[in-house]
Amino acid sequence: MSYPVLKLKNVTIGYKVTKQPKTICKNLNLELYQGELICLLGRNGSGKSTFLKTVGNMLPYLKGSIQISNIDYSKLNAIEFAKNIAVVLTESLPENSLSVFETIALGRQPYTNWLGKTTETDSKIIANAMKLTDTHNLKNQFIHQLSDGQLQRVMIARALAQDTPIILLDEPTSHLDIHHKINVFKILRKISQETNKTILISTHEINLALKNANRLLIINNDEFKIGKSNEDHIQKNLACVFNSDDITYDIKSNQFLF
Amino acid sequence: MQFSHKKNHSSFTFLILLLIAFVFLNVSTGSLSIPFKDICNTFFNSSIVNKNYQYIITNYRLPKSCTSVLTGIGLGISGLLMQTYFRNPLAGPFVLGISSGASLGVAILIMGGNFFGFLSYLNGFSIPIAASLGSFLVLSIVMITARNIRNTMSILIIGLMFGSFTSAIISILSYFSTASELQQYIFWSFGSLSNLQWKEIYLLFAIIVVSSIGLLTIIKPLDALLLGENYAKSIGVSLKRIQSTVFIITSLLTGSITAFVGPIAFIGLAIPHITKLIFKTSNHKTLIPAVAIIGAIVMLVCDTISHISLGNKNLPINAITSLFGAPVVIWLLVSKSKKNN
Repeated sequence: MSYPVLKLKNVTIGYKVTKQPKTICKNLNLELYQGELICLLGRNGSGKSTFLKTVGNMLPYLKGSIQISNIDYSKLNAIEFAKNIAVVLTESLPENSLSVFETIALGRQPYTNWLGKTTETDSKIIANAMKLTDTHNLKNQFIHQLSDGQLQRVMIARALAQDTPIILLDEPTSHLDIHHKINVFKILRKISQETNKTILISTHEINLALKNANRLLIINNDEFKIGKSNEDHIQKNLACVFNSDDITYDIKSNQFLF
Repeated sequence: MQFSHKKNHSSFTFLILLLIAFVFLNVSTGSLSIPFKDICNTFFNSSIVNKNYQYIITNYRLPKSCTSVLTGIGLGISGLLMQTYFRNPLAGPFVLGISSGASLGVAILIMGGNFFGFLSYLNGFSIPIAASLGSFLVLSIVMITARNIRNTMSILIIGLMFGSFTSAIISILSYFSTASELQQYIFWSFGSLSNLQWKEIYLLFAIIVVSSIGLLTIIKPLDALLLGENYAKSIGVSLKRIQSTVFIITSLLTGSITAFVGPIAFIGLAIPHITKLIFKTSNHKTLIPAVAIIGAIVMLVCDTISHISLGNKNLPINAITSLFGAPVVIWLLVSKSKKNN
């Protein structure tokens, strides 16, 4: 966890609704490090997706500067972004007849030639991505034949194949049962440890986040707080965001009870 | 992977042989029966062939076969591009308003005389020119309206709306036109593969070659679009560039084909489906050449059927494409879902 991969300086994020900018957060300062698994927590509508889209360059930020490995976003072109940030989105895929292997291989597009031909290096990276996500045995299946859990692992493998220092995942566990939820978190933690990638996940699985994340990023009323789960101010913010009559944060066991 | 590549090679070889066979079959059928030996000799040793046969083959049948092949290639590719770009299996080459524009142009030329008070002047070139102007006009309006719309579904709906709009205008024109004008317009809308001279065929060929060069630059981003726009963007695809390239190629191909042979229905929609069901892939490196060859074969078959079915009367090509094509697509889809169960 040596040097900051992603730096946000005085960033204002938000989006435009009929030319009127709607601000989610002002003067945001953050640094994310190599090999970190960071979970983004917040209530529905708090701006988790807006934040992820802004960092993923799918939505322009309104003020300030964001840097990847000390290079400003404004100086990066589409291909350079693709070599720095990979994403796993919540949207469902259009109907197609792609095989699992072809889907994962699409992650190599920023590196391949005009025909998209994969070289030996590409094949090695793809094979490694399949190994880390345990998708090797699915290789020849069509992606429309997969279960939700398998498909999510394939999409993570695709992001891995893109070979970027940063991977963003928008609610990667939302359709999955508890086993697959735990499995996805385990895979992501393994990836962050073994490949030294920075992984940022938005999630509603607070207990799994508390257990697996290196740091938590909490959105509490337009303010972003980042820190380890055993830090005082993080625990206060967690309680503040999620506590209600039905659910309480138990500091001793460091988990939510409901 | 290795296995499927080999399988693709043999499928392609088979399809190309099939294409050549159908070119011969197409040339050898018609109101006058020409012995197969003479047809082969026309290609390979023309000095010993009956001059009449040779004239019919080189000036009538061969141009028609070439037109069929080029039409099939162009409409097949355009249909595939539209279906991939819009991620919608119901999209076809005409969703951007090209055929409705062409129909409007030709309708105004043939039937607008009474209505607008000008004398229609018809010769070999006026119909293609009116069709081109009409499709260019409607296409430009669709593009300008769609310019600031990011949602591809809305662009699709805008295209359809312009289609209804122009057909309403055509209905009004038809209502006020004479029986012979109406007949002339309806004959145009049936489509005809036999109006092209060699000069026009060379032009069409050149357009297809230019479009194919453009196609080579977007094979990669087309594959990326299979994951949806956001994923495509995240792996470095410029959505604006792919949109303009896809739209330009489609308008060039469908625009020129519609201008010369009329609004050929169904082929552009069906060929990509048939190809995907045969090749079972979404990879555009395979799909683009495959839709081109299969498109050419299907057009040749339809053309052959259209002039053997009723002796010396040719059936309209537009009726044949749908009459025989639709059941084929339905059959393929049903047998595919049976296999899946």
